[in-house]
Amino acid sequence: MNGRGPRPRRPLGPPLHFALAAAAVGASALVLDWNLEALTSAAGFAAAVDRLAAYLAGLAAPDLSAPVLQRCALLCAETLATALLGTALGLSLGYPVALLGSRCVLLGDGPPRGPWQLPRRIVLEAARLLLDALRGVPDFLWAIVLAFFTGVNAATGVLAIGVSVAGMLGKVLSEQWDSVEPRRCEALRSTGASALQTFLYGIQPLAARPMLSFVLMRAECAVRNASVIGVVGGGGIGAALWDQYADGNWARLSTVLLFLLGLTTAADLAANLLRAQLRIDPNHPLAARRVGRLAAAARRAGALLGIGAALAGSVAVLWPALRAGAGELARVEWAYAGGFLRGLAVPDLDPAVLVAVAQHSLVPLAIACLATLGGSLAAALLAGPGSVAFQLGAHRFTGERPGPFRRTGRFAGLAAARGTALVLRGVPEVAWVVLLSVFFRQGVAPCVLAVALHSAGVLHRVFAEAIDDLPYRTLERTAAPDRARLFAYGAVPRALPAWRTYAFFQFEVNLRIGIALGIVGAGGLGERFRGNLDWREYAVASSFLWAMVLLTVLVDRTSRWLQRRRSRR
Amino acid sequence: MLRPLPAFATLAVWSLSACGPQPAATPAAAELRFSVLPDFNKDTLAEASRQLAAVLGRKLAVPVRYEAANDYAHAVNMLAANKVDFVWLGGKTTCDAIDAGAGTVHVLATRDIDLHFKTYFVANREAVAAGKVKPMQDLRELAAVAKDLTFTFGDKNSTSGHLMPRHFLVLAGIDPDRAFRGACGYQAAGGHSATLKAVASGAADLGALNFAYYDAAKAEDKAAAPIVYTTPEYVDYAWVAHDRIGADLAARLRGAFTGLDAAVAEEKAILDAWKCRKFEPAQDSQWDSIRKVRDSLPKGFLR
Repeated sequence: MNGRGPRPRRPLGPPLHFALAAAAVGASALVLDWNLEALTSAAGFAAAVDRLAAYLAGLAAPDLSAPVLQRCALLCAETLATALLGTALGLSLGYPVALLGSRCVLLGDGPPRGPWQLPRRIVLEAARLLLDALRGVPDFLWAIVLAFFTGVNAATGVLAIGVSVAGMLGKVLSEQWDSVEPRRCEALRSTGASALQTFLYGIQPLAARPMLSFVLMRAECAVRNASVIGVVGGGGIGAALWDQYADGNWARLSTVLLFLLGLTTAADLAANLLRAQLRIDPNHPLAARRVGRLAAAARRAGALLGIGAALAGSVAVLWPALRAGAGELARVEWAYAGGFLRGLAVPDLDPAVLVAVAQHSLVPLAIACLATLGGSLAAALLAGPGSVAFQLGAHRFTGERPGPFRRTGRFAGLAAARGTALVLRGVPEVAWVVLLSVFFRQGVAPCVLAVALHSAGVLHRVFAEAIDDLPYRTLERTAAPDRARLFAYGAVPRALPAWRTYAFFQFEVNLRIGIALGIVGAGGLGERFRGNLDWREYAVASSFLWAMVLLTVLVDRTSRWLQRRRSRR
Repeated sequence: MLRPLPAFATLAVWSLSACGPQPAATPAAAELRFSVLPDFNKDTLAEASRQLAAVLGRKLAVPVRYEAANDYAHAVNMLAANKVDFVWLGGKTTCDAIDAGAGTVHVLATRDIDLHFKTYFVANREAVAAGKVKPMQDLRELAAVAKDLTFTFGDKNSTSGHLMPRHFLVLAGIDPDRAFRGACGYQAAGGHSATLKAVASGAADLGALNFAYYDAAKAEDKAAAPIVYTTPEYVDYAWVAHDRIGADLAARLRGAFTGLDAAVAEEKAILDAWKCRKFEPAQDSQWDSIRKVRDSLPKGFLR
């Protein structure tokens, strides 16, 4: 690869990638057991439309009686507090493990330096495996296991979210640290700084902004995840959503949905507002203006106070639950909990079971493939209309002077694209499943579509941000006859590496969601694992559990490998 | 990979308990905690359970607290893991709890109806009108028409919604995983009320559910989902307690249940919520037949 100079890059990647994607879509479509009655026959379609109309009519009249409102508000407060405390716990657990799982911290950069690095390599791999296990074991299992210790209350929810957030943050932080350009820390290394010193004074400050931005995004995602966990047994507003759906109480379902949408949208906008302050390029016209030293200190103190107040408020909301959880520790049945864990640790290696495990693993994989590709495509299509740079700031790099009429039109388009994405991601996957199950009935189709819609919303935000973060001067230099072509040939190719990273990360997220959704109709790995757990077939359940961890390890190692290969190029 | 888990959990739990003042550890008998398996609308269950807690608390002169269970297996785990002291379980979960307790968990009482429990197969009204399925005396008649029908069980862990209907289907030579149109469904939440809603709304043509819940359901739902088959009788729900509450309290608790009197308005409300006229004392051995069915059932649906 050396000595040939930079490779010419096609704007949309080599055809091989397309072939691979097409093959993945085809294979995924074949693997799944589709329920498409609603689309394949006229009668089925008419019946589905009728069902949806009746449902929407029910949703249009939410139950706004005082006790229901009160209960929903309480559930929202609990969900929010659980998510915040869970994220805080996850960050404090995940950060140290991320240090051990980071290549640049443990091994330094550059080529492998011989066998004396072996112990460090082992630590590195062990830390990464731990992170994979934390993420790969589904949240609802964490909730079940932790409930043996802290009982049935929000304390268990905080711990369960904390564990999976630790796995998630640990992975991403270590990847972000490892992707810091080694040359940017060369000055430090040449003065003899150790790996840890290089990290503290070089890598960590350089990666701080994207890191903070990601932590904020995770905090906000934890709010949504708290609702998914609710469905599989974590309580909170997610459980209320599924209960009302199962009961067919559309009026109350509507109330719960409204509260849920309000909660996620508020979290989304708040996180976005904060993240906008963390733009990477300080010279970017959209970046926050430079502020004085005193003002910066005041801002920092304000942020710390805000975080402190939010955490203190969360503790206050959950105080009875946390107390109850601590009280439960006095009566842990260690023998039973230990037996349960030992049972889950030893898999059944019977060939018939292994074949079943392999077959059922294909379901979440296929869901994740289809939903991630579909979501990425939709997000990419919405990225142009949803880009502030291209809709409001285009005159800065195209030199055009749009009239007030056209400017209003562009603003409306921007608002529409961003609003659509906000709703797409504001409605959690489970709520999409509920909505789409009315049309398709329970099965694979609503699950795939739900994950795709939600991914489109999530990816649209980061896709549009990647476009907006491009320095305008690079766009200025691209010769293109109009905005559309400037976007397609100037902006997209430059944002594509970032898009790819986000899409790959979303794939891993979707894989886990595909497992969780198995329980609500998609079938496959999650459903079989849960079934065996419920039927106390622990050895078989263990085989499915190991498969989940193995899938996570595979996806993680592939994404790390792809990133390293790309950064070396 | 699960090795770090207990250590981690302990750590997390220490840090949590270090956060606040340590609440005084309550000896087991100072308070009784119980749960009920969520086989129906959870709000309805919670309301009835809180009423029961009040009545039992008065009868036993011990504070009684209700803890909601997320799902069937959770109710069993809570009992074994010392998160509740007694629990209302279904037939299969009663056996699960006795097995999980390894000699420490015993049946206290059961309803008058539970020793003669039944499952109804109900069909969507339009499917019956279209002649796709008709009422039958023998489940074997279903074999011929199953291919045209979608079918749903209740919760996978339910006795009357899954274990027994599956058992009777298998006895009739019908493999529920292959015989129907598409894969057979389950209700992940909402229990028997969800099964009835699914069949009444046409989301499934045919479903199997608890006869007691069906009999107490709204007339319009029953009209939309008429019964096409009633299974033979079997043993189902029970109150199950852990030995940690002590033999004396266990005996008094059993007495409190069997003493619930339909002549007292407040106690009648509880009996009505449990859809029975009274509770009767019962022994573990009465559930042996259910355990046999549970253990001998082909487990293809788990593979």
